[in-house]
Amino acid sequence: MKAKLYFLTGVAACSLAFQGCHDKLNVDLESAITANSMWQDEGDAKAAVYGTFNKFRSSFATAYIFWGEYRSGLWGPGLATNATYSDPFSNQLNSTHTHANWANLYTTINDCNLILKYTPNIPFTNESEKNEVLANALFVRAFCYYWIGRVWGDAPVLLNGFESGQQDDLYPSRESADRVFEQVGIDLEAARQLMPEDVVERDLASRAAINLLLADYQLWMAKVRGGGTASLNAAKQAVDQVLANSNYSLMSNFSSVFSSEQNQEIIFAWSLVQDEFTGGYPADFLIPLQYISAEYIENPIKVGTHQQWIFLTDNYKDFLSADDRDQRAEVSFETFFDAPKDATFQWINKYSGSWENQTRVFDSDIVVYRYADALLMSAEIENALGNSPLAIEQVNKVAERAYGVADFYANTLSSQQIDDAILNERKKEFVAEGKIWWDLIRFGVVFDEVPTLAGRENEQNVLLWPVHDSSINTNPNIKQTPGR
Amino acid sequence: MRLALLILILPCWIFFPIQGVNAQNRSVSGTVTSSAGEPVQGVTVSLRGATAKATTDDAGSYRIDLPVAGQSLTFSAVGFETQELAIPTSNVLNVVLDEAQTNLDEVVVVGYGTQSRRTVTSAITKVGGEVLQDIPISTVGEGLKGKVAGARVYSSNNTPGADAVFRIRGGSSINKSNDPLVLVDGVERAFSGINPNDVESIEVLKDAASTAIYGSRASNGVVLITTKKGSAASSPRITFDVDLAHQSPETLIDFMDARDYINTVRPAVALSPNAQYNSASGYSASSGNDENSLYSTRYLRDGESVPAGYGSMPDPLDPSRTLIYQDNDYQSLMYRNVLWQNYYLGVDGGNEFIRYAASGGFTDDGGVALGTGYSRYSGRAKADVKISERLSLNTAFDFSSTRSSEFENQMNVIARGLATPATQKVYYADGRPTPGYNASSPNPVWWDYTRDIANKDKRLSLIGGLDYRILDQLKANVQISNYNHVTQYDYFEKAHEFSGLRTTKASFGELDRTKLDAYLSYDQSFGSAHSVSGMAGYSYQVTDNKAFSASATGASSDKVPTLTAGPNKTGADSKFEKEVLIGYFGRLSYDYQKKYLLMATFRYDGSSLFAEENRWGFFPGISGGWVVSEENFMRNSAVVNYLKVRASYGQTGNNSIGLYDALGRYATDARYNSNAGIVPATMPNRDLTWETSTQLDAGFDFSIVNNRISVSADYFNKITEDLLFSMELPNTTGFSNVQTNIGKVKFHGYDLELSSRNITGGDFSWDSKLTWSFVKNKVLELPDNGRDRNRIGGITLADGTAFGGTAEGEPLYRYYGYTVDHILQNAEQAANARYDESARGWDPADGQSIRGRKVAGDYEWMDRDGDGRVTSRDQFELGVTVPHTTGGLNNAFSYKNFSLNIFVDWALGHSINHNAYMRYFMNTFANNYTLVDEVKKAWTGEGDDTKYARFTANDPDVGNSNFSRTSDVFNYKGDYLCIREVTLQYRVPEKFIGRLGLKDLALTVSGNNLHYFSAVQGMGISPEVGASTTYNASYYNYPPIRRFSFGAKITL
Repeated sequence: MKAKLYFLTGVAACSLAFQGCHDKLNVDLESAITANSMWQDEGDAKAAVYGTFNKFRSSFATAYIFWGEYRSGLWGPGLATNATYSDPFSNQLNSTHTHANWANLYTTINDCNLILKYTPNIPFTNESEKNEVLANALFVRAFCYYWIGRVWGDAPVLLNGFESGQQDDLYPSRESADRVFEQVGIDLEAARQLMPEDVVERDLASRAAINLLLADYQLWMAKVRGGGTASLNAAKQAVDQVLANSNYSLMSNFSSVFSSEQNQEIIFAWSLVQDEFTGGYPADFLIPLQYISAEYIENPIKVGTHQQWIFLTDNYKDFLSADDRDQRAEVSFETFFDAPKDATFQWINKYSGSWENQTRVFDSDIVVYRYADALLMSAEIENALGNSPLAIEQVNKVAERAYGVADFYANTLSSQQIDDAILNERKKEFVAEGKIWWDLIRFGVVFDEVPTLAGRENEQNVLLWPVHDSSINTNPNIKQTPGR
Repeated sequence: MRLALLILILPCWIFFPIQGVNAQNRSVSGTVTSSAGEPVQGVTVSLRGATAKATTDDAGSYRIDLPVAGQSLTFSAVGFETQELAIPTSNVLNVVLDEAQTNLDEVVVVGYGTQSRRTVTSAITKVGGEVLQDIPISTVGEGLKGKVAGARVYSSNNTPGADAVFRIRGGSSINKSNDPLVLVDGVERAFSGINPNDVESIEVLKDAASTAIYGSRASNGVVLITTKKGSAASSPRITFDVDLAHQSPETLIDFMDARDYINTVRPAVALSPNAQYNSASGYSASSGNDENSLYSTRYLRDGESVPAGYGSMPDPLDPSRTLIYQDNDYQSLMYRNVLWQNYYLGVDGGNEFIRYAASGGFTDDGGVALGTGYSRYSGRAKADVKISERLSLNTAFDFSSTRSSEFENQMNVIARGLATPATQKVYYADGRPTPGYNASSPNPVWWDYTRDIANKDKRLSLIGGLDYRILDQLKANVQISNYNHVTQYDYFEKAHEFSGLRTTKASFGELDRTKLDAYLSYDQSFGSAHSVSGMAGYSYQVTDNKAFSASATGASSDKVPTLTAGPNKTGADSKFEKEVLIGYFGRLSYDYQKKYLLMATFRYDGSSLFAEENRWGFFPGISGGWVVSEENFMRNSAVVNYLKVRASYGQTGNNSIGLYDALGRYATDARYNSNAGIVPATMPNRDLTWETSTQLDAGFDFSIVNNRISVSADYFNKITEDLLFSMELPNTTGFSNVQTNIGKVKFHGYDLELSSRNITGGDFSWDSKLTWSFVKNKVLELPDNGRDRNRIGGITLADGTAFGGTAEGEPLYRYYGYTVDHILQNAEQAANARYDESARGWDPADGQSIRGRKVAGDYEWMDRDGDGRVTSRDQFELGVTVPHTTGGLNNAFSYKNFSLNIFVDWALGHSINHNAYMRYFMNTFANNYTLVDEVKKAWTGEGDDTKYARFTANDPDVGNSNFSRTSDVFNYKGDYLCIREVTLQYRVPEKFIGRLGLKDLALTVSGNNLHYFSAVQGMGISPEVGASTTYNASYYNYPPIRRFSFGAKITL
């Protein structure tokens, strides 16, 4: 019995001592920021902006041109092709295509939503820096919704960040495209107000970047979504502010737009940096090593990291080469005959990155908006508003650099002819810059110009992308777009 | 911390005085030894009909005080036949006990203690270490396949040194870990690094009553490995083992040779939209390659003679021209016949005061696949020291150092590497290996040449413990252990065609786990009928995980494979993680006349992984047994020697969540234009708590016919609630999933073990042992997501119904694909065929690609939803990836000095969709992906009765996807029977070895993984793993390896 007493005392004493160990269960997690320790100071908010741009960049680095150009009929097989490429360029999309998935865009939007939720309550030493953070988040969110509205039409409009699996709006339905586009306008106006004027970042939002996105958006609203003159005037106001900004102007030489980064012509670009983020869609244009003779590697044939999956069609190449004076043609594509291999190779000289240790590193920034785009948008807006002379003046600024000829287009052109000239110049200026699909829709010629869409005007929603199966299978409220 | 706890523990004993022994009338003493002459500890010495009892000590000696009337003593011990002997007048009685012939008397290791098999009331399988002996295996798991009733042990990866996977009763979870808790001499660690020769026994705890004592980590079962310890034999015993084995792949793929390849591909390319690939340079069957091309095929020039190493043939497209080609067998370049070797030196011995065992081993596997390999050095020592009559100390260390090289991605290096066509040159003229079609489908020789990959692991366990017998009935035990696992990884990529950056990576990691277990145990008998034992304890475990990794590129040469040489420092990461687990546990058992058995256990666990408010969990278990054969009505049965029925019920937990799942995580590694960025990475859920499994087990053990046949069988039903579940989120939330506690899943089935001594006595004996396990599962409840049956994933049809994925009321592990209706035999049938979303519709007749159009020879796929179109919705269940039945059968024969062991094992019910094999029908990668011989059976014209549709050049990219979708065409049953082990041993008779001073010499020839009978035989993969695709970065394409070994074991 004595022993039992000792036993019990011993157990009790030990357990009491061990109780002290229970707080050892509160382990300090040093290697990451937990939800509790985030959003405490301005450093968190600023880092969240860079985090958001990191997601923003990866959302678009490859998809940008799939959505903005490959369906335009100007692209076809490269040295080889596969379904990821041939489905878009032949306008045979299905709901399992990688880029039918909007997940990355909504992930980026969620990051923006969290910044917009928490930043207002974080004290900043400098209020304008807080505004810059907010304006960046609004710019990115507007950009994503603008593309969502154009790529899928109806879509969820989500403005509150997700932080818990119990939130009410976890399973949203698609709202009308009108609502999606409305939000783009609201965000851009707010961003424009908040963004300090002195910010001239070219790889983040700036007053000019916001304005040019706004102009682009309003022009789309005017010409595609019945926004009328009100939208045109809003577009004009926005683009004029960009053109009046002395931080931006045309580079004198077309090729130098792409041979240097963050130059005066760049208004907004995604920054690609070696060892941080490289690749993106430009990796699909160059020539794989195995096909070419050793002596022509980088002399002049540009060697890529993998197969050339897609390239310009013969018709498009002919169109680009039609005028000998046009200095853009050889930047847009180059041709070389490899005699020992008895084969001709062609590649694109934009965004070809750097050649280091016999290796291609695709670290060229991907340009979204540049000054030439502002000029051509201005021309399009002015022409639509009936200001033909100003429209021609703006087109000619771009044409003069290209052809080395002043007043390339005569001021006698009709409004239709001016539109044709603008579209032609856009097709020559922006090869592989992710714009031409939208241009064809805006100018109302998409069913005329794209051979694989000829006669498909009556196919419901044929210009939209289908919603990816994974979007439908993770949320029963999402329904496939009719006809897709 | 460690020291603090030790200081706390020590006073607990100082308080307990050592109780004196009361003097009685008469005293008998002696020693108990085994038939081998070794002292036997723990023998119960009792006087029939009286309460007097004694136990032998380490040296086998005992002393018992008796009333004068006593006539005879009973000696009983676990593992030995009980003996009753008359007391001699000298009052000295020395006894030799015979080892028991039945496993009913074996000792079973349970959580924090041992039990006799006779009184076990829970479901525990014991496997003796001898099953791992004399067979050429590198890791413990390889030797356990099919040998544990209730556990499926299989190799998911056959790369040298890879550990096998353990699934005990199917696991417990849907999408969290189903790996059991593994304790080696009480230390939590992986199987990796343990030398199979060191294993004394393996206990697999299966039901809740046996595992509940491990509480929060026990849901997937517990595996207890006990390593060998010294015996109190007087002289040291030295054993030396050497085994050498020849290794080769158990299965190879039948690829086309170059000639057949050219004859097949060229006509097909001519009909494809890319006919120019037949004459351009850089294509595997093209006539236009040159000296510098990757591929050898080209036209013989006028006046040229066929170069050495080339074959020639008429061009199938233009027989007037001669094609020349090399015919290289890439499979034989990839897989070599290599040596496996194992050396082991062990010594053990002891005396009254100290017992010790020590060993050293070296195992080396040359690696059948080029660029892989494994070697292990191991060393261990264990010592038990008797400090006083009541206090003993035990201490052990276990060290291993392993080096291995393995492929980072077997899909790329194996499945795609083997796709290198026979016509590709192995080397360029200057001797450099040629690359592959692209950087991720390498020529195996090139891959090996360009990569230096080394993994190094060092594992060290240090264990120290004290046993203190406070009273005869009360014992205190404390064990402190430290387990340290250091990993090193180095990677260097030489400059090559696809990247001259010389990527260099290095990482170091250290896992440091310190654990304290302290418990008191108490045993008491009341009268001759009632026995009670109790145990209560405390456990504290802290795991620190530290890791560092860095990478660099841009070195100027291949000479220095270090980070220093690369000027671009591309990555530098470190992490510090810590996890703490505190547990209180206890066990109480009672039996009445060893007839009615009852046991209850509990554990109360706290884990740092969860938020403070949800941190603690309580896990109880209860079990009972009735030894029917002890009842009077059966005691004298001529047939039934032993029969016990038992049942158990209890709860266990699973805490396998990530460190940040409860608190959420923002990642700090997102950079933008060289600025540090932060992004949300894990959605927090503070409500997270344990996943709890409740398991019912009912079973019986019996032996009949003089204990010659014994059977142990269990039925179980395990329901896991509050599943730790990665709930898939809509892709609009910014997160792909969140960890939740929603859902319920059931695993149920039975396991059976049967052993039989068919022929005994005389020169010849024959023993058999069979295990059989069956497990099924069903999802009972899932997070509410608004879909029918709360289905996750799967395919939704236009009418809103859905199938596939994971859904309530349906089993897990299913997969889906297209199903062939028939092959379209002619143009008319093709014209009337269903629109096929995945068909590109190229027809050489009109030179157009029209989406959805079919051509004669294409598959007509089944239309599930009846909309007349073949789309991604038209898929059917093709199989499940996990077998329902596994088992093994061993037959051991011995004749005089020869013994022969034949072991086979099997699994039934799973399927394999062999996408990697299907791809050898595609000729993709711009017609450079090689073909299997089977392609010759493809449809060629109307009326062909064949399984395979027409062959097209580049089916996925320009064809109609006959061979580029998961379908029933390449779906195979995974059922297999494997001749796992055949071992023939000869023990050299003593008369030959005695004069050499040897105690024993055994010579062994053995074979391992000799043959799989299965539907995927000849397809390059193992049938042990079910798979919805064999072409995936997470699938391991390494083939199973067959070994033939010769070994000798010498005992001094």
